[in-house]
Amino acid sequence: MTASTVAGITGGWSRRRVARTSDPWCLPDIRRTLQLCLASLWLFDGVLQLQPFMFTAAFGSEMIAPVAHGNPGVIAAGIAFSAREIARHPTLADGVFAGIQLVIAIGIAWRRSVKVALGLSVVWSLGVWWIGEGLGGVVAGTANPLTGAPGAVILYALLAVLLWPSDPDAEAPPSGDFVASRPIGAIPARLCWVVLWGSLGWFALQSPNRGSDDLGNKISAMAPGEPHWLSSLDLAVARDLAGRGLEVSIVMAVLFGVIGAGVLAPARVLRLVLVLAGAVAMVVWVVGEGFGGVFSGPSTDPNSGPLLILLTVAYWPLVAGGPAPVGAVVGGGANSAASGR
Amino acid sequence: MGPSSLVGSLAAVMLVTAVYCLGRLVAAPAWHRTTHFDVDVGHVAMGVAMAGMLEGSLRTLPAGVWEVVFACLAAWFAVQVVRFVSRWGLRGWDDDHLHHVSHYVTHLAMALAMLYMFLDPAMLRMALVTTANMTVMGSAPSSAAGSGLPLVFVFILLVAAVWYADSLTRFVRTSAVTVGDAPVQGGTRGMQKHVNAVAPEVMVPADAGVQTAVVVRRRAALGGEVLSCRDGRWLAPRLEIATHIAMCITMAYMLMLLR
Repeated sequence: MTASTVAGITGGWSRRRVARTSDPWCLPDIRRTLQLCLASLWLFDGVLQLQPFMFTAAFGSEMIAPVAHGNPGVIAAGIAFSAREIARHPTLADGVFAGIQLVIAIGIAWRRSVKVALGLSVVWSLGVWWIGEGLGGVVAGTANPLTGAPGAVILYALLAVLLWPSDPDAEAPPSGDFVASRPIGAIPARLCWVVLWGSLGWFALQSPNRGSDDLGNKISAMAPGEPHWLSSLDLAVARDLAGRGLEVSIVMAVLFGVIGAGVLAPARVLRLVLVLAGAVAMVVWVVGEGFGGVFSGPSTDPNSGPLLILLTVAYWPLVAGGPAPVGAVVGGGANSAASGR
Repeated sequence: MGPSSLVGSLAAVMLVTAVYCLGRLVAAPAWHRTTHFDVDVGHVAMGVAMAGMLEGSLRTLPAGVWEVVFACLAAWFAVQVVRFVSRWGLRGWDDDHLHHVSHYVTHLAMALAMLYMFLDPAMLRMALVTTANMTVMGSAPSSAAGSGLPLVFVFILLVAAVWYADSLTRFVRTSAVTVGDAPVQGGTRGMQKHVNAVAPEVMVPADAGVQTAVVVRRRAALGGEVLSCRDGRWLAPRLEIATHIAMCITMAYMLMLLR
């Protein structure tokens, strides 16, 4: 302690000034770190939404309206209506969209509002999944796991649920437990994982994705506008996959199935499966999604790759004596509002 | 709010931020308070420069001058990063994670991002573009597309904004009495007892009640290089953080248009 500090405290600092300088603040643990990653993605989405293109009628007519194609009437009607209204009032609509995403981002980052922001993100994600992504092509039968199925935005909702702050006074999780299991329990969390990766395997086998040149064509179509290194990679992969659509689909389905079932395995095996899942998610993000197209033109989000990676981390088995639900408290006792967990 | 009014608003926010940070530089010594002088100087420069880039009528200095300014700032923060890491290592942050090595790294990235924007001809063109044709400019990637570097800066800046926003709740009021690293309950008597055990040279004001007294050991350990959240003399820390967040998001938006 420095002499000046002592003098400062004993020298009659104002009550307000002294009172403000300490609080029960916790260092971010794994869950909080994942929440902050999620907030960063929302912030990125909000900034992307502020691109000048999004303020034009083309946002409604060229980006929203096409996702209605192939969907059942009731779903397509909602999309068509929204696209029409967005095209009529593009500035207002985009301002609202961007504002909501920025509010969600800052809300998650600010510990006192994390629950409200996560709740809002679930509602918003479900709405955008319908209106903005046409349910990710799941109902239309066009979902492709290599290009973002089942829709990036539904993964935001899933992560919001799995990263929901739980009771800070709860006991440390048992060995082999994982972050995603805390708010809803281990079995429902595992079920979510199985359904997600199992559905990706199912989508991979659907007819629009197993044509001989379908996959190669989709990947090569992303190359224009990308940085040279990325477009070269895409074109090379597209060349290699040309004419092998069915084989690739089967390999992907098996891979996704193994990853999905792996969550039921013991912790040691699960870790290997999660490493595989992270690697697959990275390949999907780089090759299949081209980083969500953020390099090549108007894009609303970085697609599903980073969200799959966050999910992988959320399922990583914790070791006994590892990070507890409440991390190290800084400057005072635990406080649920300030700790944001 | 369309692109043109958005750009105008961001320019206004940057100008207000710059003026506020200038005020901090003047007020802190006058009120015997502390602040991050290097950060405030950086924020003033970045705020004025970005306002000029966003709104042509607010341009002040030639691009060449700004390049020198931000090169100097980048060099300063780079030296601080090296100094800090060599002295304290990467784990020289525990409870004060916000303002230790990340403090310098973030501002180094911001200075480099500003330098990049001024060195990139596309950005100079942007400075000349009026707000009316922002739609045209932003509808397609500029010549800068292909490097991917702007998005690297965007990533760092947005993560930094979230990282700083997470720290805002450290500065709320609390009824817990804290001395050093331990929470103490029990009003003045309990606090005095604890203070006597931890730091006998500190006197607890009689009217302290359940208010908080803080022993700033962390800052002493760091040699006063960066301010601790427990340093009650730190001038308006939440506002400093808010200016930083605003600056990060605005800069990220501008870099996004460059990608």
